[in-house]
Amino acid sequence: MHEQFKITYFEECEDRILEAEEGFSQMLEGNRDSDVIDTVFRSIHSIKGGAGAFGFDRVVDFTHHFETVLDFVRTGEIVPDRDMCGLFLRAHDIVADMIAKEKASEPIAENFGAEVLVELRKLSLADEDNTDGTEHVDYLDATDAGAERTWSIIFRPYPDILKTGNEPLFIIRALKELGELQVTAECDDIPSLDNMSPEQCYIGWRMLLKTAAAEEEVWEIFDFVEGLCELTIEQQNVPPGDMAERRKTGNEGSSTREARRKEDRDLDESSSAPVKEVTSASAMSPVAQSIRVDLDRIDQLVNLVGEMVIAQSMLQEQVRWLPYEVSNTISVGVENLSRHMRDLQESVMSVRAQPIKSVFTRMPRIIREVSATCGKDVRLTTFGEETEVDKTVLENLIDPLTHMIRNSIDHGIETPEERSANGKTPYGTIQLSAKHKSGRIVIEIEDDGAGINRDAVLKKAKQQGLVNDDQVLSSNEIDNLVFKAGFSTAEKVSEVSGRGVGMDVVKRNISNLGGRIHVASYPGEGCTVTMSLPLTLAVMDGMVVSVGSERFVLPTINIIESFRPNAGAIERLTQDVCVIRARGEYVRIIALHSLFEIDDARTAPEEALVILLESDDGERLAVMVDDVLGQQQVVIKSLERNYNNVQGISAATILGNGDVALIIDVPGLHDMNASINLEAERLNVIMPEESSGEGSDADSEANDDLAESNQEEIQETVLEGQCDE
Amino acid sequence: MSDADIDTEFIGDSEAGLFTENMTAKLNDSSDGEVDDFILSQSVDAAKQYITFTIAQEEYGTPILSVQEIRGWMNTTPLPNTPKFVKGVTNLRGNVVPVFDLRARFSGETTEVTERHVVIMVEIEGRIIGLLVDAISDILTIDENQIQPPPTGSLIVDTQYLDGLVATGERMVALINTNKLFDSEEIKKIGNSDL
Repeated sequence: MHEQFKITYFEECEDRILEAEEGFSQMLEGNRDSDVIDTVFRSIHSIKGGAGAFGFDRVVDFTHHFETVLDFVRTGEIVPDRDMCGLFLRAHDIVADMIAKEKASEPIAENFGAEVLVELRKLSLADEDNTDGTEHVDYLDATDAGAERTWSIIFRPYPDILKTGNEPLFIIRALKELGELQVTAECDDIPSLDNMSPEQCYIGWRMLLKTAAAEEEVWEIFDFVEGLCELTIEQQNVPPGDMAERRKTGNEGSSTREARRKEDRDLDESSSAPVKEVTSASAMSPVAQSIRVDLDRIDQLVNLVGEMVIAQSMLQEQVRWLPYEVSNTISVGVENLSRHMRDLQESVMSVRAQPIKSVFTRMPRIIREVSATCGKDVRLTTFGEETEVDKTVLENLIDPLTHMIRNSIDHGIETPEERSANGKTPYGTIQLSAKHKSGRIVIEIEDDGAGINRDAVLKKAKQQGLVNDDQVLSSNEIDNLVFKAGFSTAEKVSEVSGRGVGMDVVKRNISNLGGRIHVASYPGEGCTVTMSLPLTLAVMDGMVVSVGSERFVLPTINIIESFRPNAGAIERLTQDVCVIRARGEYVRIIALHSLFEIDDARTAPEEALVILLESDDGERLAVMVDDVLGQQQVVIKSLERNYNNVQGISAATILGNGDVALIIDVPGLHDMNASINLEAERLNVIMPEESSGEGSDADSEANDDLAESNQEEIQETVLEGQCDE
Repeated sequence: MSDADIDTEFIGDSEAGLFTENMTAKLNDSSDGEVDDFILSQSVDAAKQYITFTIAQEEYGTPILSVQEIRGWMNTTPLPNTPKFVKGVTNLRGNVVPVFDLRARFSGETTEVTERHVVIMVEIEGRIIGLLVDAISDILTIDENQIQPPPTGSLIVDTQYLDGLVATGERMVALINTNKLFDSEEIKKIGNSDL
């Protein structure tokens, strides 16, 4: 029970933290409207509230001081400037970290956030001096605040209090921390054993608390049981009265409560007081606009819809074979069905879709941290935060995006001095934008830094053997070298980046999501990284092809064209290795039947179809298949779930006839040959003279021009590499 | 492919076939009231119940609780570049499930599949896999102390994959450990060495 509430609390916290972050960021940018301030105050307040209920003392302690300062901001006693807003953001980051630690059940270091806490205290204390706030002094500096007072507390929980996740013991413990506490339990309401329910609380307490703490502090401990108990707190020097008096004061509870801090009342009145949602399950918010649903349930729904898509395509296929008289009416029905299916599928997918905002709002914090480390001033603007994308895609976007932003700041944006010298604004700007484009989401990260240093990149790539010395690359190709594995231009490894494990990992993550990434650099003006991702991972467009009696699915996104080659178009280097000239370049052609060992396929290239593919990194490859059967949406079924992954295959799907077809992994196909290619390139580097000589001997036709002979050379060595194996 | 289709495929070998048909009906058709009775009546010592099946002349057993369903042979989609005992993947009500040729896994000889062959769908560690066997033969209730440690060398299967042996009357049943036999790491290893 307790755990369940905890989970809800952390979920809520996540929302609150994002909400607060956004608010603070707005404040930093100069928008200090009262509703912005109210929002952040409420967020921090509710985080504190829940933390108290679960006994996260460190969080309570920190947020308490934070909240105090924010309260002054709210009431206008403190007018925040930019520095102060920066401090708030730092404090907010600490709260977020603390919550993350609590969530992971990790201990929070003793001095964690101490510096910020000191600054926050300074702020609140400075304010004390200016205003008439004796009460606040008490409250912050309890130990110096003079006289100890004795409070009589009568705490009589309603029986249902346990159901809301509150634990009276925590409250009593918290009271004990304020000072000397005497507790007397009142057991007169305990029913006989056979009427007792373990989920109800029958005990009440009378307590005498001797403390120097302010009244607020005592009240605050009961924040989360308000409305769930009879409570009176009175200052007195005599022991609390008898039962009759207690009952009476219990009824007067509301008037006692009047004395409570104003903002708490405001909070209670505002319908959105989230504290209540966390701690009291019975409290209903007046308008329920959204509900929390377990992700598993949605996934189940998505799976079911996937099944129906398959069943429907099966039906559609069967209808085709019916005699016309019958099929006429049925096919109208089937068409209707498929239209509804598409709608249904889209609606279900839209349930999983979430605005990309939740990823974007994490970025300001990264920028703050990294730019502070690098000594740079960077501002962020975002566009298209409302663009929606599948939750899984969203979650997998966080790391790559974080990494690229770090890179932009570390490598792209110059220091303020350099920028001023180049006639730019002293602060750099990173623009993050998202939009939908032809069924995919396109995310751009644009900075106005120095751009990619092409000379350095090329030099480094040659040093690391990623590029041959004599290879001529277009500037675009050079820019995209940053995605090669093991590549790093940073002269020294910094804390932020430069270990050379960055961009290729980013690229792999994006590829795993079925996406592409591309970088365009404008020297001196900046650099734009563009990512394009599918909106969902559950369904994709594919082309169904046949190879012998087997069916395969090629992702439509990878297909450039398909054609039946002329007899002369394919150059056969050996029995198995062929290249084809397509769109002005030689592309290796892979016969799927030989790669996948299928016996009954067409082996003569002239009789087959060639499909020209481009893998996500822009490398081209042609595959030979028997026939193209059609294009359709396919539901992606993981092979790894019940088996292992298979090289060259990314997943499976179920076709209309119920058969399983395998989905070809185009980058994977490329990799299956990459080792050979790499070998070839290496051979080429070591002995360019000899191999070019051999090339011209073996194949005189290929010597038309130099570039072409170079191509041939590689193919030739590919062939040699294979013979060796 | 509905369950009704599968049942009709068991038309061969009278006794075993008929038996399998009943079994299939019972295991598959959860809406049938009879099934509840079936499960209830066995639940007390279900852990000790084994389904036995034959490969060539030998009889093997696997715990009944791990068995999801039994179906007749249906076409599989071959997976490229996998060991010989991987027959391919098939569609089990929307799940893509691998089917393993148990004979090939044990002896290296692949099974010549006919319509009479049977696939047992087994759940191991959350994954579902299909085991291609010659025929289902029986359900045995086996007392733990009847299980003897496997002897070395007399069977085609490597004894490290056996949980033990049971003698019932004339017959000898070898209890196989499917978890170990089709552990994904194990398959990867074999896959690498086999290629």
